[in-house]
Amino acid sequence: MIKQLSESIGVSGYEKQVRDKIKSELQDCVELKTDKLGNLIALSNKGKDKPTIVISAHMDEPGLIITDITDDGYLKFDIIGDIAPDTLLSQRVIIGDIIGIISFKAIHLTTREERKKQVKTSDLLIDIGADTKHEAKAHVHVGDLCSFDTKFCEVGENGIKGKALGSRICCSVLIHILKQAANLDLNLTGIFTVQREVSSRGAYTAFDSVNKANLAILTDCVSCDENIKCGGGAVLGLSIDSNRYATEYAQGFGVKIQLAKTDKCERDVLLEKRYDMPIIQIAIPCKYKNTAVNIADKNDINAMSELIFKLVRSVENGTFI
Amino acid sequence: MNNKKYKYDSSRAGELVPLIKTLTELRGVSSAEGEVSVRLKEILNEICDRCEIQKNGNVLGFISAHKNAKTIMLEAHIDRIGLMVTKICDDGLIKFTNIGGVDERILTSAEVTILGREDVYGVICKVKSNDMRIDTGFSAEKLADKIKVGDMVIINSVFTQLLGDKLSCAAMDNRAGIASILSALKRINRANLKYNIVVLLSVQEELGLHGAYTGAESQTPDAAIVVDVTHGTTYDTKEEVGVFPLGSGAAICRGPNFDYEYTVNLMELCDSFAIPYTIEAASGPSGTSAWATQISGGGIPSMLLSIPLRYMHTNVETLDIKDVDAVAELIAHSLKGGLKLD
Repeated sequence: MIKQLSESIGVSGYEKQVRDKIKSELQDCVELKTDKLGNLIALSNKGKDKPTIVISAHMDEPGLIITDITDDGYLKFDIIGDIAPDTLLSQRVIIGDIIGIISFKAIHLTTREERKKQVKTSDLLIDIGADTKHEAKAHVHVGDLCSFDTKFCEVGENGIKGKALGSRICCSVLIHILKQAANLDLNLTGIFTVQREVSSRGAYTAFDSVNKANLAILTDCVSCDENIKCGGGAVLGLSIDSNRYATEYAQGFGVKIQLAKTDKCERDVLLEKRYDMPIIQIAIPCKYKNTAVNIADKNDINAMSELIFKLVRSVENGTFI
Repeated sequence: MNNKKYKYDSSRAGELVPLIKTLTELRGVSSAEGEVSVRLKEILNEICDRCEIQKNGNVLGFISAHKNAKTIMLEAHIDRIGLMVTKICDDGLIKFTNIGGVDERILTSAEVTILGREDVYGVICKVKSNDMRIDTGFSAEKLADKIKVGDMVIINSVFTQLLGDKLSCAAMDNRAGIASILSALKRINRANLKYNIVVLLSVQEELGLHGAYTGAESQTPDAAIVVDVTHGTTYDTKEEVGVFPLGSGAAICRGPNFDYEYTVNLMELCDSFAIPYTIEAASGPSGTSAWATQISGGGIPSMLLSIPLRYMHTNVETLDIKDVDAVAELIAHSLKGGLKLD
């Protein structure tokens, strides 16, 4: 399922294809609603007297947006989300039903100064093979969204690679848990958010339908660095507030985890809105998160899934308060 | 002799596109061209009277005309640029160097295949500001069974059709050149050939034209037509010299590397038959096998036809199929006697 979701397209601002795929997976198991921003909310209610848990995952991925079409039929663009511009050279992008190539001057024609310059988005254009603006306009419009053309596959010993891995792994884990909702004796709300990559816009409205919960688990993706390793287990986000109890509780399960400080994410939006629920952040570590090709470790996915499931069980049987 | 003017027939794309796709899928990094030599000999065997593979992997094909006929050589290099494993680090990341002039700007987050005992997939990552490694997801122990220092690496690409007649893929340099020669050979009438033809598909061009020097030295044709790629116009090179719009046809090169009169002959041939072309001027080495053929085999008067190519030496080299066709057509007309060898 991660493969199908990773190869689906859902650039921040238009996540429809991914949302539809998730809906088709869940429509027979739980009640589904879509809010005005496109957030998908999955509900399994077992009664007011039962404990409530909310789990979220974001559906969107970084990509490009067409900002202009030149007279020669090339496309100017801006980046949506966090992508390093220097990794864009020679990438292939999907725009609707055509392919484009990020265009640049052949190296033989560049000067040493030009090669030393930091690559800026404003220096790059997309080549779709059109010779004129007129020809290009027959196939694309300003405002069209582009996603990277990265195929999913397994790599190395336990790895997987694809685009949008972080978000689609989290969505898959959440889908997996929601599919077992019938067997769980609590109120389970799954929230698939939009626009996490653009300042977590979706999070501002996605949780409004949940008044109160015993626990909110926000899933996300974090980049690997010296402290966070692929294969090091699920990442538990450290926060500096009253949710510390929840985070410490999660460490008691014996699942392989690594701790990390995380900032500027959906958790911050929820804290700002002061919902009445303890928040815990569980993330999947991904290599090369800000490029078109991400790598994740299957063992970390299992650890994340196991950790979330154990937390769900704890809330269900009342051991987590 | 056929006097029909040239008009690009889009049905020709039906032959050229699959041919180019097949050729770009072959590996064959410079000095490791083995599988390419074998495959090309198979293809040439269907067209030529006789074929051979030389010690270094050069492929030669011979087509005889009649006893006193002069001989034209058609040359294209078969190797492609790539990378090579230089060290497998303890953490499983792999150090590498380049084979030929790889455009390093495209390497970050490029997907590659290491051609070891088995193919191993990898992604290129940056470890410090300018230091790159290949990450395969395997540990050093696991890698020891699969790859070794010195293994070649190719940069993955997807054969893509863009709008118009444009194609994009790795190794268009110079598999597209080979395709134009093979296509030209299908357009001539074997029954009444004017010239003997020697096809030299050479190795190690990207390292210094090595196969072209040795291959041409072993033959003594009366003239050579070399096919390679030249730069294709992009939005930021419109005013530059030596860059040609995609779709503008064959780029005929003039300058001291080439036979002055034969080259003018080619231009007139294009004018007569309405074959689209542009002219490139090179004041010194053309950067192609023609520099080698010119002084080999006792001295071979040389000509160069180039296919305009965007993003040269990357995995998204982009050309217009009409230009490949124009080169093939010009070669065919030359072989039929349009090129007058004295």
